[in-house]
Amino acid sequence: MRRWERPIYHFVYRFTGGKEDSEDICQEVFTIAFSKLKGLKEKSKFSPWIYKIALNQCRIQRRREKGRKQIPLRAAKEAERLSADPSVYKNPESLTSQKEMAHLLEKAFRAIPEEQRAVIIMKEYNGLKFDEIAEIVDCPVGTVKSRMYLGLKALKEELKKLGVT
Amino acid sequence: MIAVSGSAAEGRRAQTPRRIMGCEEIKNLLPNVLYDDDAVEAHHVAAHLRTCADCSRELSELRATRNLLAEWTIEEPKRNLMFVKPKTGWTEPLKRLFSNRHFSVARVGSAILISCSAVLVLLSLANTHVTWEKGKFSFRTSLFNQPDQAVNERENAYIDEQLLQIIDSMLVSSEMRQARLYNLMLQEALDQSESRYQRETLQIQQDLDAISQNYWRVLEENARLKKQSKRPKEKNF
Repeated sequence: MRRWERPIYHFVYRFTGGKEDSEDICQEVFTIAFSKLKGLKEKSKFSPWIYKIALNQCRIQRRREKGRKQIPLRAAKEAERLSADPSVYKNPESLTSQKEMAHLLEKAFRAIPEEQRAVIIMKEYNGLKFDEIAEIVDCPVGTVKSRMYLGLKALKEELKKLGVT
Repeated sequence: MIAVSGSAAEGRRAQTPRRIMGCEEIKNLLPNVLYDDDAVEAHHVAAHLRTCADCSRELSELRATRNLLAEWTIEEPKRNLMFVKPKTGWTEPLKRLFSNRHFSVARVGSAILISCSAVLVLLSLANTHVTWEKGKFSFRTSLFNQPDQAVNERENAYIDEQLLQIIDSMLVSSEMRQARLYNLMLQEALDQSESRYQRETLQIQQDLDAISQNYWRVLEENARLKKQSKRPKEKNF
C-alpha cells in the first residue's frame, strides 16, 4: 500500500488545496483503507477503491469546512494577492516562477465544479483511465469524458480571468 | 450538449445539421485524443478533426490548457502518512471528541452553559409565587420548591404536637420502666431474705440434731454408769 501514499496525497492535495488538511485526510484514507481492506473482494480493483475512499474523505472534509468559519489558506491568500491585479499576468514574461503559476492553477481549480475538478485531477495528474474514473465517481464513461471536456474549458476560462493566456 | 452560439455556427447548423451534431459529440470525445485513452474513439475523432477546423481549434485550445496544468507541482508530505501508530489510551475518545471540528471545546462548553442556564430559568419559573396581599403584589421565586408561610406554620404546629406526644410517651415509658425496676429490686430482696431464712433454718435444724445426739449419748453414758454402780462390789478378803 506504500506506493499509493504519494498518488493519493497528490490527488487529495490538488482536490482540497491545503497541505495540512491533505495530510490529515490522507491519514484518514489509509486508516479506513487498512480497516476495510478485508472487505475488498477483487484485489485488481484496489486503485479505484482507494481513490473512491479518498474522494469521499475529501467531500466529508469539505462539508466539515462548510460548517466552520472559512479561513483562507496561506496559498490561497497568496494566490488572492497575486490575482488582485490580473494585468500582472497579461504578459507571460511576468510569470516569473512556477510557484506563482501553481497558485493560479490552484485558484482556477477551486473555481470549477467539484465533479469536473475530480475528473481532471485524476486523469491529468494521477493518470487514471476514463473507465477507472467512471467507477470512482459512479457515473458512465461518457459523462466522465463530458466532465473532462467541460472542466478543461472552464479551467481555460478561469485562467483567462486570472490573466494567464 | 454544448450549444454552438453565433451566426456562423447557426449557419453551419442550418446547412449541415448532422455535422453540427457530430461536432457536439466529437467535442465530448476530445479528451480521448488529448490523453490517447481509447484508440477506437480516438481514431474516429481524428478522422473528424481532419475535416473540421472548429473541432481542431477546440482541441488545440484544450492542449494549451493541458500544457499549463503541467506547471502545477506540489511539495511532498513531510511526515509519514501511513502506519500511524493507533492511539489506544483511555483518554483517546475524549481527545477525539474535543479534536473533532464539530465538537470543539468552545461549542461543547457553550452548549453546557446554555443548557444549565435554561434549566435554572425553568426551575425559577416553576417555583415562582405571586400573591396579592394588603393591596400590593408580592413576588417571590426560588430555584427549589419552598412551601408558603401558612403551610410552614401548620407543619411547625404539627411537629410541636408530635414532639409533645413523643415526650409524653417517653415519660410514661420512663415511669413504667422505673416501677418495673423497683419491682425487680423488691423481688430480689425477698429472694435474698428467703434464702437467708432457709439457710438459718437449716443451720438451726443441724444444731438441734447435734444437741439431740449429744443428749442421747449422755443418757446412754449415764445408764451405763448406773449399771456399773449397781454391780456388787467384790469383797477383798
